[in-house]
Amino acid sequence: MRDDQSQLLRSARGRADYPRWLPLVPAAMLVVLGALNLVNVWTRGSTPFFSGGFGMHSTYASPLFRFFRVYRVLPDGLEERVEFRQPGPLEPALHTATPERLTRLLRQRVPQAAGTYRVELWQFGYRPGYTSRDARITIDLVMDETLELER
Amino acid sequence: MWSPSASVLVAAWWQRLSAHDPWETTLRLTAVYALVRFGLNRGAAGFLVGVLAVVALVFPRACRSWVLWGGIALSLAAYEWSAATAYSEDLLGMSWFLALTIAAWADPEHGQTRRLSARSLIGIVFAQAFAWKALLTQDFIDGSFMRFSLMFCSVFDDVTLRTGLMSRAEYDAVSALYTGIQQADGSLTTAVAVPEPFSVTVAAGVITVWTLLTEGAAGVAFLAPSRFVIYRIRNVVLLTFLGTVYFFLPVQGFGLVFASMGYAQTEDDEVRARSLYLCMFFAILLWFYLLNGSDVIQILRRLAPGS
Repeated sequence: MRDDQSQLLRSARGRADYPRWLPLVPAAMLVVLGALNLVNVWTRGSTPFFSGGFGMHSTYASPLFRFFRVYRVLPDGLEERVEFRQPGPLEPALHTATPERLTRLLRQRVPQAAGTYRVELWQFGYRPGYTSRDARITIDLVMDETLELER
Repeated sequence: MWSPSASVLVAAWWQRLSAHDPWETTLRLTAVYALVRFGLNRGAAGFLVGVLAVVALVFPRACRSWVLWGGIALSLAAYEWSAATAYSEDLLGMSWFLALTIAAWADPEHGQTRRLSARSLIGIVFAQAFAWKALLTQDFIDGSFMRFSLMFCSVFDDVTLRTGLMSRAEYDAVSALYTGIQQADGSLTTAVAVPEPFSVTVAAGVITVWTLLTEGAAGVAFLAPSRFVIYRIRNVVLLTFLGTVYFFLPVQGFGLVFASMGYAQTEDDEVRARSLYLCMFFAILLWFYLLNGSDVIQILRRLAPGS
């Protein structure tokens, strides 16, 4: 009877024999996710806003400062600019621009799209200069992808 | 206006606030956070998180159950797994729910598990944020990033306009420049000059230095061993950061989860810090969800002498 009571009491108060590293598991998980995000930023041009990279508002590699330009490639090889409403900052293609994400985005934003399209992903930057009068805005090409869209 | 009876009332309120059981209050604060941040969006998984959070708030026994917190953590994990990208704040929230699941299962009474998890999570997030700003990129540390952000970032435009850092005409000019570059073709042959107001340059410098100082100090303070002096001022550092940053930046989710974790990691005798974290949590909640914080800033500007 006494054993039963003490067992009940122990289960209500927790487990004395839990591994001591267990409370550090959540933080370790964030370290691993942060490291993976860093690899993605360096190798795939991702941003540190998502996937556990806690570098929000620290670099121009941000979905808030990226934008797309979309061109339709005509049969004669010339290109015409396609009217394209810029997506919001939560758009995954702004974070990591894979061909699959770009195709899905193009299908959403340009419903009639068919044929060959070229998508450019640009990123704003800033050269501050020595005084505020010398400040200059810049843009850098993050990615240039040609996509074939079937009707 | 301030009478002795008001002092007595405040003292009584403060005493009552301080007497709350830290474990129970940690769970309730986190339930409120889960409800307002994830319960109203994130689809079916968010709905489940919301329902479980309401159960936690209504039924004290369920609130203490590791199964409930495991359910909340798993629901959010399922959403993040299926989402194309997981916003970092969601992953922090999920980690905190997991930490509470572990604490409720292993050691709800003494609170060592809860404290260690909360401290390590706060420390790791601030260390990563500081590393990004100070070590991994040059964009932030030279001040240019905040100058650019205050003028062009949609997160800041409400604050810069309402605090008077930029006039409407200045804001319209830089917005037109930004949109014009997006609509043009090809790269910029020459970098385009920006009409940067001097007030923005100064404010950006202050914000840059302040952010580096507070984030770096919070990372060190929460990861330092308890015998270090900086560990003993960790609550001052985090409360200062919360009180100065989250009332200007509309990233209230981070504010709420840091206030909850800050509360959870206090030692039994740190009554004042615990009460301040509690006040901070409700102040952020009130500021962003019941009042519109930037409206309040504008009203204060109008009331200021000479305006």
